[in-house]
Amino acid sequence: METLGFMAAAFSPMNLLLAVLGVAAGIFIGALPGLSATMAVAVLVPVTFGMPTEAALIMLGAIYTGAIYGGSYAAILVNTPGTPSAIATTFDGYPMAQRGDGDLAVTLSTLSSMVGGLVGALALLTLAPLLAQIALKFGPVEYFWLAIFGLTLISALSEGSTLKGFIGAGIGLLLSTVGVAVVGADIRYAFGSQFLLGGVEIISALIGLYCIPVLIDLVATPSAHLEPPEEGRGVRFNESLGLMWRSKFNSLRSAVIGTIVAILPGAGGSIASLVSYSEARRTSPRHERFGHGEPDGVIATESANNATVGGGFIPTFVLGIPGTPPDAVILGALLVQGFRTGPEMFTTNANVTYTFIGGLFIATLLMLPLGLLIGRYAFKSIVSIPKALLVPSIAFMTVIGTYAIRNNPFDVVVMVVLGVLGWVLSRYGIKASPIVLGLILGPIAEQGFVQGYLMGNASGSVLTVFFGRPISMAIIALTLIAVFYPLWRARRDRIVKNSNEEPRHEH
Amino acid sequence: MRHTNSNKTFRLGTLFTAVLTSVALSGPVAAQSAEDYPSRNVQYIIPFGPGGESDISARLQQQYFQDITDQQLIIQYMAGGGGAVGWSQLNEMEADGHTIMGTNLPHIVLKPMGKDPGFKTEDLKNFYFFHYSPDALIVANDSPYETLEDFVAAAKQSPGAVTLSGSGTQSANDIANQRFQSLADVKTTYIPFKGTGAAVAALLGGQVQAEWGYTTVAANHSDKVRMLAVAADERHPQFPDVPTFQELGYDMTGGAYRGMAVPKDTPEDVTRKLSDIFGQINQNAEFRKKMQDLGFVLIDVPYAEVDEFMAERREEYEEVAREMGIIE
Amino acid sequence: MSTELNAPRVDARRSDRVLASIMIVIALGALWFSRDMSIMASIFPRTIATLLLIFSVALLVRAFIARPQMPKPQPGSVGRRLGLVGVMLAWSFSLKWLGFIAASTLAAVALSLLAHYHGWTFKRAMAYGLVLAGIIAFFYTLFAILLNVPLPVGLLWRDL
Repeated sequence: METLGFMAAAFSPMNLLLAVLGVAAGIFIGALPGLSATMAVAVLVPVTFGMPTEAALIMLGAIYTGAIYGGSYAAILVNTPGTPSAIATTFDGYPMAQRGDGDLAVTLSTLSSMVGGLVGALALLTLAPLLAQIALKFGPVEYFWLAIFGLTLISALSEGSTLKGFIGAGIGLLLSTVGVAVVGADIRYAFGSQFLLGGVEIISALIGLYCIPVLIDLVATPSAHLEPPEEGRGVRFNESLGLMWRSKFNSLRSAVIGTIVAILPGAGGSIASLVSYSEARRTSPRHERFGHGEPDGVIATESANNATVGGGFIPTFVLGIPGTPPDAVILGALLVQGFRTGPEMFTTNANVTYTFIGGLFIATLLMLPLGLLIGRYAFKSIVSIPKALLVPSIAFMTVIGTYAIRNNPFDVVVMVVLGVLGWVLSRYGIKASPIVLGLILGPIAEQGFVQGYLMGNASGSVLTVFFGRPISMAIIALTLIAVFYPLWRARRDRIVKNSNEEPRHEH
Repeated sequence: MRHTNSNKTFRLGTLFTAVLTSVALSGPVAAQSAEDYPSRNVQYIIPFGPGGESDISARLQQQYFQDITDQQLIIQYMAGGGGAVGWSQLNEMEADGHTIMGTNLPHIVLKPMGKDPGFKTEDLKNFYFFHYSPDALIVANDSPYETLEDFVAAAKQSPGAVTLSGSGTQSANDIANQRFQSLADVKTTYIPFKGTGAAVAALLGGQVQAEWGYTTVAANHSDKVRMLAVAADERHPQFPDVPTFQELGYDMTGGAYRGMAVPKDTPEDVTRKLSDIFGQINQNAEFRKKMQDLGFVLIDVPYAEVDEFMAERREEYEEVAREMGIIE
Repeated sequence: MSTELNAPRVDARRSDRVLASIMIVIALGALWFSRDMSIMASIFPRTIATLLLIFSVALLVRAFIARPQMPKPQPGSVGRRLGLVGVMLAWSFSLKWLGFIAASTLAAVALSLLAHYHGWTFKRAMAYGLVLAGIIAFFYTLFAILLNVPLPVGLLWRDL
């Protein structure tokens, strides 16, 4: 009951106002490619010095929630994931927008984000200490296997040729090794350039690989960027509710996957939505429509990525180990304010913590009205802007957004070069997604492998370390299922097809 | 038709360019003198990502900088290459004192010893070193090692079998491990992680038996970990029960030092003024208390003493670098 | 970016051979440049490069023995595409020298011309110019003033 009292404190008029402002600012910032939640939160930190801690935390949480959700606009409308967690939203969101269903996609993403956000916040409220213990059980070896499991998504992401998908992932994995190695401190593939030392920044790569090809094809023809929606049909709220109800299990499952994967510091946020997407695709009766504008794809990824907000705070609060980059900034702000993370967060400082969680709930609920309001205009304005203005505007956002990530003009060059390469490769049948997957998973796989190898050497048996631990074995089993299930299903489909055809022959 | 009109647009474009650039130029070009410095907000670039110790200590300075100068200290991040991306670009930045960058030891000395990271140690014009996080040997609360002696005994019994996590290769943690190995004549396995957070997670999860970290790590996770020894000259006021390495017979002091540098063409008087401002922040009682609570140890190395301080550190790191095989 | 389920497909034998050959060169290059890395740092890139080599050889072999197909690429003007690539590259390289505002204004105007398929009237040019200037001014305010991003001022102007 005390908990509820603390949470109710979040509902004071001042705090509510801060939450509205935070969510609106967050949606706006998240919708601009390159302007990440991390940056939004970092800029706000000095502002919060003068505020009461609860108010500051509510504002930071609201911005974060809004920014993760806002990322779906850029993903749906211009095929540009502003954060790694919105990659999978482009798979079905952008095709939906292209055929004129952008309004439906945005509304679905709003509803799914709300479901995901609520599930994540609920987990943070009720299961935080338990889930944090699970996060600690993940050592280097588990991360290595998790990355290998993540690589099995290639076959789901590369329609057409799996072989080309693997080649694409290989390119991404090699790109991820550019720069200073964490283990060994070697400078790799920098070719003497001081600019390549910092490696390929993932968000710049995302912007380049996904958005530049869209721009290149946009100037090539006079046809419209997106199909215009029919007049006067609003935001298609009832239709979206119907689709959500049909996919209620999909949405909940994705939110739960998102929460659980997000508790793993460093790895979780970016791959949670990809895992949910491939899981939704695997179990869906409409699996062949995924990647061509299937609403379930948007529902799965958006439910998952907003669940990562609550999920990521679990290790941050309980262990003092930030789950995601924005969490790291919020943790820093807490330390500067004189707060310690750990069990104290749920005892001595419980009032602050529970007010913050209350604030997360409010922010999540506020996404619905604010998101529908903003979404209504976002799609229509993108559709109605003439190309001669749309192209420079999108290009401008990619450039300024990429620059702002690390204040580094060379990142903009890398972004453009990767984008052009991505376009050329797509003409040869290699999609952007396997490359990005390699880029994200490369460092996780490499560090996990080398660290696990060092651990194995110290303990005398490398094999026991890699294959003998229970969580590793479970992930290996999942990997095998992910590889062999589609083969098995394809074979079964063939058999069913044959047995259906045979009686017809007899007639 | 189309041709002439696109020409018009181009003229329009050049007009805009002219107007906008003149606006952009009018501000900062005027010559700086130390009296009216700082005349606007100061950019404080941290060459790492947000949320780390460099960021947190800078955030604490931020509050007091404004009290002293009436101008804001604006913290920016330029992460990449373990700091190299930022440091290699510092000297190209505007040299009027309104751009400063955080610098870290041993990074700025060790990195240029290996392959060329795009900057040289002596190219960085450091003007103040304000604190360090002393190295500490940390174990989980339920660890069988109660004292440093237990740890050394275990490492002697089976060389290489004791694993330690730490942040990065050729970093403060790696150096601490290297120095301790030779001082105590033991062999351990050092496992580099990306960042202190991941190294602590490995310790808490029981993936490794101990961690090379800092007093700050122990302060942040005081409920879950304890330190066996601290590499400071005297015991840290936050942890009066934890002995120093020197007390236990190992001549080891050091850690991660943090300072600030300006682009090398910054006028001397402005640089001295900056050094004075940050010296003043370092004397603020509230600032001292907050830094100490977080586990930092404050030091005062103003601009005039930086060269001497750097020379001492350099000598120390060169010795370790030879042992690690970074240099001949 | 085909969104149709049954998009038209074209023969991919020649393009696959080209792709596979380039990838083989890249994989060999990655192996060659890994020779002076320490053992720990080279395990991963070497493994990946070897796998990339195997997959690329497999692709090359397949392009000779099978008849692979791929979705038909989107048609369109080659000149305008190259123009966009050129403008984007020039933009990104000139940021540091020309500064953010000058480089962006020039690039925005060039892109606007590239993306426009109808005739230009004076009124339209003025209107578009104003909108673009407004967009640049808005984002400049947002980033440089509200978000404190140190946008490049331009090394050229500094030395004047």
